[in-house]
Amino acid sequence: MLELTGLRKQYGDVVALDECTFRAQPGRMLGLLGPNGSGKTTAMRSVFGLVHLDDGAVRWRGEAIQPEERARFGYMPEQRGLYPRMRVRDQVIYFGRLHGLSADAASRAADEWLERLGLSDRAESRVEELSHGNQQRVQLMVALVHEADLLILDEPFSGLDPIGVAALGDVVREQAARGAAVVFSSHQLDLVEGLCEDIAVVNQGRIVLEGALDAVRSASPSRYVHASVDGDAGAAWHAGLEGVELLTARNSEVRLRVPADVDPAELLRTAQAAGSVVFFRFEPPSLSDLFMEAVSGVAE
Amino acid sequence: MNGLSGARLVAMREIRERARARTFLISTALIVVLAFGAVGAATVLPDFFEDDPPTIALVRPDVPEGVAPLLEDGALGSEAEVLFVEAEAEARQLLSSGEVEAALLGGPTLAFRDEVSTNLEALANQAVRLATLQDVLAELGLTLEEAAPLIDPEPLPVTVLDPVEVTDSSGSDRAIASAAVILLLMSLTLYGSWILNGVVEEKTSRVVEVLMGALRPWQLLLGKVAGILALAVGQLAAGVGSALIAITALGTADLPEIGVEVGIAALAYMALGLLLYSFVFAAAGATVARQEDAQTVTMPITLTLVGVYMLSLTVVVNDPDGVLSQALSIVPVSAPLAMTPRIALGNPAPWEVGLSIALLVAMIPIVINLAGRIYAGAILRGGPRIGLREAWRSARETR
Repeated sequence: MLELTGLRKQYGDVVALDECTFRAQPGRMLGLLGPNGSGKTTAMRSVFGLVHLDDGAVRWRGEAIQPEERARFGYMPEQRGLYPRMRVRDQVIYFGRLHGLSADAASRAADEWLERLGLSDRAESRVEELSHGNQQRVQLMVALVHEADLLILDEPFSGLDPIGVAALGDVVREQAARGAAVVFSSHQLDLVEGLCEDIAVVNQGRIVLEGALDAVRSASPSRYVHASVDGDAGAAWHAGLEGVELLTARNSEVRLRVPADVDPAELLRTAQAAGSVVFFRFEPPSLSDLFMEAVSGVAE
Repeated sequence: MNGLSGARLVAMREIRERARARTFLISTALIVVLAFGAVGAATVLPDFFEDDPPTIALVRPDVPEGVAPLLEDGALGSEAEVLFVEAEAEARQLLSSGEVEAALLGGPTLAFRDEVSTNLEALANQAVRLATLQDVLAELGLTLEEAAPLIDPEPLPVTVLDPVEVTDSSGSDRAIASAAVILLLMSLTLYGSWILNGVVEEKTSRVVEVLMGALRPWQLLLGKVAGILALAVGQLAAGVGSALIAITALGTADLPEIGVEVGIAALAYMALGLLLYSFVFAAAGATVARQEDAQTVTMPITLTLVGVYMLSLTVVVNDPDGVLSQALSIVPVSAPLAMTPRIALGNPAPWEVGLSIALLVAMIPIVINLAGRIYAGAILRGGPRIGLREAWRSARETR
């Protein structure tokens, strides 16, 4: 298990991490979410000793991380970090070797990954000759080639087309399935929702929400109602209800935030009394809702 | 993976990637061509500094037999080429057109065009005298051997009580010394810039962030320098090898002795100089944020090297055993460039050479230590250029 405890880092006047604490479990995927500049990248870099922390500790399996263990991790930085003029296959092999694979194992793994991610025909191309998406694939291969125990992927899906996202998503999911702890950051919340078991939301250097996605959703103090009610009074059927907040309204369609302890049957009856209900959905928050709640301070 | 095997992987990558790059192949080819050229030049240069023997026209019917071989074989201390003509008029014409330096006319009379060459005059005199001597001796009833003690007595033995040290600095020696200094500067700056650019490339492409997941800074630094120096050794070996092949092929068995001595000194000081300066270039590269800054940050190093180079070409070459030359050839910063020309042209005492090597050998681990620390402190720092003091401090902070 990876544990980050009480991380603090300040760059001049800018606080990047402020008592940041979260953990990632083997065999599970943790989505690290947060607005731009919230400290996600700093937290991820700290795992590799790339940040000198002002305070706090990063532990793996309960201990401070030793170089030998760190070599069993895989890292995909947000910006490209590859030798631009090195050939794709050589590059993947080289990183495999650095992470402790034998020459044979490294070239076998490189060939498998090139095949898997559809880059076999570009194996002898220089990285700088590849498109953005293909460079991204190479960067991912470099993180995966040695079957890492822990994968830290900083925005692995940014700039990819939907097909690329789906392919990489599958690959990352497999890594968790084989037992790796996977941490990845993303702004694509629907994607995280589909992939991750766990989430942690960072805001201004602090974790403002953390846990298994299901648990976090049911623990939320809010529920969401998406409904459309036809009739003269239909559009305003929710007016006057206590604790209800109107999020969006379009024609007769509304989206509401309501306290978690509201009885959905009661709400539905109120809607039916106001007109004919076209549809009515009562649900726990989506990840996007949770994110907005957490970052705007609703959850506190 | 233990520390050295990590560094070895880095070095192997460096060698593999660079060895197949076009710049490496071109520079190696250039070195081979230069080596052949240098041997060729060394073969030709001594002749270049010596004048061709002068030519004398002999009017065949009027000049005693036996004069021509004496002029030509050099037994009289100098030699001349002989051109036979049949008539005096022809000899005069060759003389006035400048095709011959002198002409031996009937009489015999020695003719010059506009001024007398004393060398040639002495040579012609001796040749004519010797050629006619045999006839004179025969009349006296003596053989040449019997007359030898009279004609050519044993010279007196000579001894010098307090000989002045002769610094032999012929033109070709100076050429060799200067060439060695130029080669030393070129190799230090060439391989230094490879290291510099390699470090800067890793930093600016941010690949260093990924590398640091598997390596520690010292492994990356050591591997990079070792890999590039291995390539340097390879290129130099190609150069030396080509030179040896050229020597064999040209049959230049009598290469100037100084060439061998200077070659060995140059290689030794090149090795020490590369070890000293490589790590400095690497540390400088680590403090750079953008490729464009690389030249700025190495300016002090380059200026130092070029300054020492110019002093070596002027002060050391002209006054190889003067105080400044002595100092330059012993201080570690300048010794890699300044000692070789001293060895070529002056007489450095063995202790001076020993001291300069000992100081370099002692200095190298200190420099590696300092440079390693600055490298470790700076290589992961993004943002603008990093001051040395800052790099030094953050080295203590990072692992």
